[in-house]
Formats: sequence, C-alpha cells, structure tokens
Amino acid sequence: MNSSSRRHLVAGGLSILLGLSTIMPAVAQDMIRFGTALSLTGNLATEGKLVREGYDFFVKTVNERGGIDVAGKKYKVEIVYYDDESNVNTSVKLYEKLISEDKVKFLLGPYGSGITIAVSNLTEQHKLPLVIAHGAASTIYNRGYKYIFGVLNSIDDYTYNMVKMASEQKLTRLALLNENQLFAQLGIDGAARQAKELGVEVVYKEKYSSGTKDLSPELEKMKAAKPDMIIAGGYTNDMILLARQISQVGLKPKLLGYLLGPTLPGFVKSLGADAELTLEPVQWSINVPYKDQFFDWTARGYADAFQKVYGHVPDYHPIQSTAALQVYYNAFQKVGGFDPQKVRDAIAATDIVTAYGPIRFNDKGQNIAKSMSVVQIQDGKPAVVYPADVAETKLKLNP
Amino acid sequence: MTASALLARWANGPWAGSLRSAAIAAVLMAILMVLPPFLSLYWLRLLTSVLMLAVIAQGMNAMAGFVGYPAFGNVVFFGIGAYGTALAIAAGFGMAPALLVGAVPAATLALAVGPLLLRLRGHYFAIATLGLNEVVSALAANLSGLTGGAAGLSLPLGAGTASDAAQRAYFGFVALFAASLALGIFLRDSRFGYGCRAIRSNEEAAEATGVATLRVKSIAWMLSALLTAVAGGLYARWVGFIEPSLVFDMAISVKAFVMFLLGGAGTVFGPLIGSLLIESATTLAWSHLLKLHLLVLGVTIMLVVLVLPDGAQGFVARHWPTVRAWWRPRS
Amino acid sequence: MQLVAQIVLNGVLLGGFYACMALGFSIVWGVMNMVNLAYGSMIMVGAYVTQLAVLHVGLPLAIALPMAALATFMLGYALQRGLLNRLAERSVFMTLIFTFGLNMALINLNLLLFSADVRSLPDVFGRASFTIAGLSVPYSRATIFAVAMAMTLGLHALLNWTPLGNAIKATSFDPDAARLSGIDVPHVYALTFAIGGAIAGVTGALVATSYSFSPFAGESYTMKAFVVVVLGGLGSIPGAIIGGILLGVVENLASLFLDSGYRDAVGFALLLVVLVLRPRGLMGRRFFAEVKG
Repeated sequence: MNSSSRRHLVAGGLSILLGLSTIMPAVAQDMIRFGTALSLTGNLATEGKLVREGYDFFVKTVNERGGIDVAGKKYKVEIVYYDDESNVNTSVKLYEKLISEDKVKFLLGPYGSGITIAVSNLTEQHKLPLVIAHGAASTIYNRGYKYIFGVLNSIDDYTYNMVKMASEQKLTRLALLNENQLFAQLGIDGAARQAKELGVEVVYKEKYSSGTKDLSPELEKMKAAKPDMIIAGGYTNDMILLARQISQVGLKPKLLGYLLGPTLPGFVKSLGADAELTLEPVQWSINVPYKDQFFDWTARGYADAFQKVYGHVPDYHPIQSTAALQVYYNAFQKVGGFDPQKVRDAIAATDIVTAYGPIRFNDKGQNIAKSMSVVQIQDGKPAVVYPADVAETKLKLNP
Repeated sequence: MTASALLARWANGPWAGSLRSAAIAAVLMAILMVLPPFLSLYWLRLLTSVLMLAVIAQGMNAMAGFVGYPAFGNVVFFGIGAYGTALAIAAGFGMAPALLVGAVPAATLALAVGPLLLRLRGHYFAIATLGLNEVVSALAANLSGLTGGAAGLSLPLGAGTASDAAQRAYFGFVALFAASLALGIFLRDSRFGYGCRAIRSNEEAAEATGVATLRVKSIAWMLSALLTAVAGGLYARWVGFIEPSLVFDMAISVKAFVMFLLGGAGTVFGPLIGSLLIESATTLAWSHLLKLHLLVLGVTIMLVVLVLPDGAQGFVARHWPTVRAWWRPRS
Repeated sequence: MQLVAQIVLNGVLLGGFYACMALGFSIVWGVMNMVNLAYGSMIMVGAYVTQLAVLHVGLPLAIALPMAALATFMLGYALQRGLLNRLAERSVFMTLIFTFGLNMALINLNLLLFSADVRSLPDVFGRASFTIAGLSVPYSRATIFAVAMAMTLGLHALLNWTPLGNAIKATSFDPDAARLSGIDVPHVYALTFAIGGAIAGVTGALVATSYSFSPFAGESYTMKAFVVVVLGGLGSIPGAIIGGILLGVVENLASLFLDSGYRDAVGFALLLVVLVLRPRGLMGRRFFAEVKG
C-alpha cells in the first residue's frame, strides 16, 4: 500500500489503542476497586504520602491473604489514586472522574476538611458512600448527609482533652489563638465552648492572618492577660514561628498545646528546646489497647507490621486510612455483595473494633465510639500523657 | 438576488465583523447545547470548568485586553458574587434573584472605587486591585456572623440526581458564556469599544480627542465585574461550598490573565481559546506527569510567551494568510 | 505605653526585614520595568541553599549566607541572560506571565529537590535578647535588621559610587543611549537581575533562620515585596526602607488594636490610601512612576 494509506492505518490503529486505554474495565469480577484523590504533590504532600501508605498497607495485607471473602468468593482489592494537589476544584473534578469514568462505587475521602466538604457534595448527589479518614471538621458532618462516614474524631474532640487537662491541673486562665482558616477556627471555637462547660476562663481569644511573620502583637496581648495555659491552632509554618516567639516574648504558660504540629517531622528538629513539653491531641497512638477483630493486630502489632514494609513507625495518618478500608471490608462481608445502597446501610450499622480503635457511627456519620489521646513532647519525643488508661508517662508542667 | 450575492453583501458590509463573530458564536452555542448527552459527567465537568474560566478570562480581557488596565484583583468580584449568591440561596431565594444579590454589590464596588483606582496605571493599578481583593477577602474571613468566616458557607444540595445538578450548572455557564461573547463583540466593534482601545493605545491622546476616559474605564470595569460576579454565583451553586481563600484566590485572576493573553488579547474568542489550551495542558500534565506537572505548565507558558508574543490568534494571523484574509482582525 | 512602644519597635525590626526583601524586587522593576513574579521562589531557593549549607555541609551561618547569595546571583544572571533578555521588546503583560510561568517551574524544582516538608533552621540565635530603653530586642530580629541595613547601604553604594552603578542607572533611563555610549546592555540587565537575585538569596537565608519555609511559601514574599515597593516608591532605596518599616509598624499596630485577623488587610488598605493620594508612592520619583508604570 502507498505511504498515505499506511499512515492512515497507523493513525487509525493508534487511535483505537488510545481509545481502548482510556476505557477502564467495569468492576472486574474478582476485583474490588476503591477510589480516592490524595495530596501527592502540593503543600500537603508529606501528609499525603502517609495517607497513601495506610491505604496501600491494607491492600497488601488483604491481597496477601487471597483477598476479601464475600459470600464465599475471594476478591482482591485495588485502589485508584489521583493527585489533587490539595486543591478543592481539582479534587472534585477527580472524584467525578472516579465515579463517571472509572466507575468506582466505593470512595475514600480526600485529605483536608475544606476539600472533604466539597467532595462530599458530589458523592452525596451521586448517592455513593464516602468513608472519610482525613477530614475532621464538624461542618462536614452536620449537614444531614446520608452517605458520608468519618472514622476519625471530629474537631470538637481535638481540644476537649486538653481543656479537661487544664481544669484537672487547676489551671484557670486559658488563652486561645488560631490561624484564620477552617480547621483551626473550628477547633479553637470548640475549645472556647468546652472551657465554658468545664469552668476554665478564656482570658484571650483571637485569630491571626495566615502567613503572618510577626505574632508579637498577639502574644503581647496574650501575655497581658496572664494565661496559665495556651492552646493554639494553625498549620505547621505558623506553629514554628509561634513556638519561637512565645519564648522570645517571655510567655511561660504551664501548659502549651497545639491542634497540630508537634508530631509532624521538622517541628522538633526545627525548634529544639522550644518544642519541649508541648501538647498535641492525636487520633491514635501506639499504646491504645485495642485488638483488631479482623487482622489480629494490636496497635503495636500494626505498627510493627507497617514498619517492616515502609521502614518507619506510623503516626496516626496511615492507620486512619487502613481503618477506613476496614469499614468497607466489614460492610461487604455483612452485605455479602456490592450494591452501593446496601453497602451504605451496612456501613451505617458498623460496630467493630480495629487496631485504630472502635468504630460506630451516629446518624450524622461521625465515629462516636473512639476517643482521642494527648501526647506531650518529652526529651524530643512524643509520649502519650492523657487519658490515664493509655498514658505512657506522666504529664509534666512547665515550671 | 442570489444567495451568494446576499452572502457577499453581508460579508462585506459595515457590520460584517460583528455578524461573522455572532455567527461563530451561534454555532458554538448550538454545539454546546447538544453536547451533554454525549459526554460523561467527568467531561461535562471539565467543559463547565473551561467555560467558567473563559468567562472570567473575558472579564479580565475587558479590562486588561481592551482597556489596557491589568485588574489582577478582579477575582474580588468572583468572591463577592459567590458569597452574595450563596447567602441569598441559603436565605431561600431562587437562583436568578440570588445571582443578582451577588452581581449588584460587585458592580457597585467597581463603580464606587473606579474613580479612585482607575487613576493608576499598569503595575500600580494591578497591585491596587490586589489590595482591594485582599481587603474584601479579609472582611469575608472576619465577619463570621455574616459569612461564616474561615469556616466557609455550605449550600444545601440541589434537587435531583448528580446528572441533573451537573446539567443545571453546565447550562448556566453556557448562558453566561454566551453573554461573555456578546460582551466581547460589543467591546470589539462598538464605539464604546473604540474608546476602550483608544485608552489602551494612548490614554492622553484619547482624552484629548474627546473620549470620556474615566467614564469609559468605569463602565468597562463595571461590566467586567458583573460578568465575573455572576460566574462566582454560579460557581457557588455548582460546588456547594465556599470559603474566603477559595473564592478570593488571586491565582484565579492570574490564570484568567494568562488565558486571555495566550488566546489573544482584545479579541472575542481569545479567552475561550486560552481557557481550552490551559485546561487541556493542565489535565494532560496532571494525568501523565504527576511530579512534574507544574514544571511542564510553567515551561509551556514560558515557551508560549517566547514563541507566540501575540498569543494564539496573533500566531495564526501572522502565519496563515488565508486565515488572516478571512479573519481580518481589527487592530 | 510600654506595650505600644514594644510593638512599634517589633514593627520596625520586622519592617527592616520587609525592606531588605523589597530591594531585590525594586531594583529589577525600576531598571527593567519587570515585575518578577518568581521573586518569592528565588527567596525560597536562597533558604534551601542556606539550609543545605548549614545542616548538611556544616558551615556556619556567616558563610552560608553569602553562599546562598552567590547561588541566587548566578541563578539570576543565567535566567536573565538566557531567557529574560529575549523578552526585552515584549509587552509588559507578556513579561509578567513569563515570570509567572518561571515561578511555577521554580516551585516544582524546589519540590522535586527538597520535598514539600516545611523546614526551618534550628534556632541559630536562641531565645536571647537584649534590652534598649526597657524594650526587649531578640538577637535574631536585631541581626536581620542589621543585615537588611547593611544590604541597603551596599546597594546604595553600588548604584551611586561605582561605574557599574552608573551603567545600571544609565540603562534604566535610556537603554538606547546607554547602548550608544558603549554599555553592554544585555550584560547590565543580567547583572541587575543577578543583584536582585542575590538580595533574594540573602533574604532567603534570613527566612531560614527565623521563619519556616516550603516550596509554596514564596508567594507571600512576592506580594509583600510588591506592596513595600509601591508604598515606598519605585526607584528609591530610602523609599524601600521607609515603606518596609511603615508597613511593619502599621501591621503590628493593627494587630494590637484591631482584630488580628485584619493584619494583612490593613497593610493593603494603607497601600490603597497611599496610591490614591500619592500614586508614585511615599518617596517615588515622578519620572519612574509615570514612565515605568
């Protein structure tokens, strides 16, 4: 044939191949597919990596055992991942892709509360279940949605323990400061409410603009209010500055707590002595006394098995991811099938114990069976100090 | 008279350019109207996004492309539109009145600050509009009683299935896009538009020849604000959740700026072309070059600037004589 | 009263940092009419180089800082000579989006090389501070202020007392006349951008010691620099100092007396007021504001 028609043939062939490659197979007969968008690049990429490790660890564990046994047949699992770069619009777009193009019916939440709210609008409209492992804002769960379920404690629980610690330690003057963004604002507002309930006086409560380079005005105002405990919320960038400036300004609270920060890599390294004795509420620690009813793990057992695969001890991110998949695991077995509506109903009736903790949802989709603990940085390492039944060591106050 | 003679007269009369563009726009609209059944919801969403950005880019084009004033902070109108509409919907208003609640404050703001800020030029005007955006954004983030503050606003889900909601959003943006094309044709071909372009080439000379520069600039900004605000309102309904950092994000304006420049400043279809180019490039880079997509996009933009200084349409015009003869761009 | 004085002093110290940062932005804009949207990312490069030098090679900060400046100097020279000089005849808008694309590329490079982790150098200066007139001054902030002032003086000296400075000024006023008098204009542009880069590098070193940084953190620095330059007036080095200090003080006072959430907004409101009342900035020279805008 001549060169022109050969070219056409090649072009035609390539187009067909290209077309075929974009069609994902419908749910394969012996494969269960989950889908999620993660922050694999972007400014939350470090957390995103931990999140993914937790999901992958579940997949590996289950597939090594031959798959999930549903109604007598074994199904292997796989997860379709997309990177949303922590961007709301991108994330929603990618979930639409998962649902409409990749035909995934079982979705896992993205990372971050704002993104989760937007994504949940989509999944709710599609009437598909969304199990959330990394979105704690209460505003996700108070909209009366029927298809969203969060395995983690929501934001109100973040601060409750710390405020309780204050009242137990007879600290009566609480100062609150947060970055002006969703998660931190909700957290600190919650702390203020809880302080009122527990009889601790809030002597200072303000928010600061993201990216502020000098928090001394806020801290001077705070110092004038003579707090004996400070709880602050924001992202890591600001928390490092805050920790430095608190000591520079001469504030010496008996207890200093952050919504997040101390357990992320870089915090202790960057701050050295200024990080000592800071508190952080954690969703999970290696000491929680739960034994997984599916995989024979204790919390420590999970951590050991995880470390063998990924070379580092997991913080709460990976196991949260794993727990989300365990919710589906349990639901599939209870239903004996994969009808999304039935799976959704089974998830709503979840009542299980995992190495992450017990999971039971209220009618808003929040996990009300689990509680959080509080760690304190002692000698540069986080140690659980509260509540008493899981504490590794005693709480130390600043002199 | 024969059809071809009629066509010839139509194609060469005084309104030829506008009619031609309107015809192209009509064909585009027709295609857009019939597309939905052929697209999965994902592609529909992508297309809706392209249209939304094309509208915002047209708003930028109105100020920066036609009048020559780079309103980098134009996203402030997007945010005002989003919040106004969201609050109105939450209060029970229907969609159309809710859009008005978003659009009217935006237009009013443009008219109110216009006289003050439009005295600045170039980079100064740009940073002033960014400042305006920052101030309004801070108000949205701090007046929590009204706007929900940093926690944002959630809208109740729209009625119907996911497909219904997607189509409503799509056709809303198609209609808005049509309006943006009409605005483009108006700015390109009307006397008002001549005034704009006169200001862009030489404002002092325009003033001297009797163009009421402040009035023209203010009206152009108001129109730009209206368009952008309605886009914001539709967006709020579409996504169902807004927060200050999302809808007052400077990156939206800057992206829109890049889009209309690459597509062709001061043209009717430039924003759409730019939007298609950037969105396809972004989606492609995302799917295939995960860790490098920002790099690829950045390099692409740099290359385009180096190789296509007049944007895509300028490139086409310079290199394809037949196309140029048919297109006959107004300079 | 003591409290207000302390806050004002902190604002002045912060403002020194802002001024130092703004200089690099200002010189490039003033001479080449280019608003460099990649400026913040260049600051980040300086921060990463400093961190590498201090933590991985073990150099003291006093050596790491000039190293960072040198690295960004070379980066700046290469960028201008290799890429940006080709844009000399393009429209201002096109140059803007070119630097926008450059910024994206630099962010991705930083991401690839250093990951998204937030980093900071362990406290180099400690919590120590000294007291002046009853007000406390942390060593870290005082050092930053001193470095900023030193750079400002250095830049002033360079521009006014050296042949290179004359060449830069001449080129900025009239590139064609400069070319005719034998000045190698592309080289001068490249050097100017390189100097801007070096200043960014020093700023980055300071950022690494006192704040934290990540590939995406550069944006806010670009914006701040933009604001300070416009506030103080383009083409004026004293203007950058005054603008920076004024911004720092106003921001701190706003945080003190108003809701702290309005901090940035007040800075921008100040900018708007200055622009409306005095479009060329506080100390801007007429010529620059009109021709270079």
